[in-house]
Amino acid sequence: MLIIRGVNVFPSQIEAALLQVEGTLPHYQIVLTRERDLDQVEVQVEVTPNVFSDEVRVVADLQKKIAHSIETITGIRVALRLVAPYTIQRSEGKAKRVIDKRGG
Amino acid sequence: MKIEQLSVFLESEPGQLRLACDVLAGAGINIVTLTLADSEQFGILRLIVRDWQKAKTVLEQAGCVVKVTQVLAVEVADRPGGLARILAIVDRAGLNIEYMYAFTEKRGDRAVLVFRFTDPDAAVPVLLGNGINPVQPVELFSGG
Repeated sequence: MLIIRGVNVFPSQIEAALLQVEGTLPHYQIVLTRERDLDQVEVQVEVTPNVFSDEVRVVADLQKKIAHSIETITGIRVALRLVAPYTIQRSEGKAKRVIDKRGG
Repeated sequence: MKIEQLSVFLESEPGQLRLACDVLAGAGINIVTLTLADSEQFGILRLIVRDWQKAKTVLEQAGCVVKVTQVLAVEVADRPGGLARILAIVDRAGLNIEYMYAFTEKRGDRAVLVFRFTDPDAAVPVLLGNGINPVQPVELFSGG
């Protein structure tokens, strides 16, 4: 479990949000940082052929939908970044889901 | 008239475009034309190559996400009003263009227009019926 801006967030909630939008679970990573005493969350999601489009509008919509779904499920607003495949580090087949850079 | 276009997802980071081009170069694939769409967060590289299946395979092997889309290629005279005339026809028929790009042929005085219509199948008869010259893949790729 993560505590983000005082809210309890489970990675499984992020997964539920991703599943809801994409139908299958893409590789993702949650990156936590702190700016001016406020937790910042960036969720990085690998783009898959299923959801990729030649149209900017469609890909931008996907990004918005995922961010919205995460906010609806967890109650926190996140920055959503789509990344290229295989860019999220895997360890023993499973990706490292959370990178917490908040310190203390 | 229908030509396969490859679209490749690019992160908005230095070196991303080069990566895709290096992969194609390494496989000996020449780019006939390309366009790069960018948003704040990511880019989409759209390519036309002769052997799109091979290009798709090598790009995917290099870890790229690739999408194949059918676009329509037509030719017009490379002079003022060439594109405007086609757009008037497209407009009258109520066809929606998602995006388009153009390039000039190496030989001659023609320009090639590449259209991504929302409904390509509806666009084909309209263009042909109005005397627009389709560009066949064989012509497009004859120069290599």
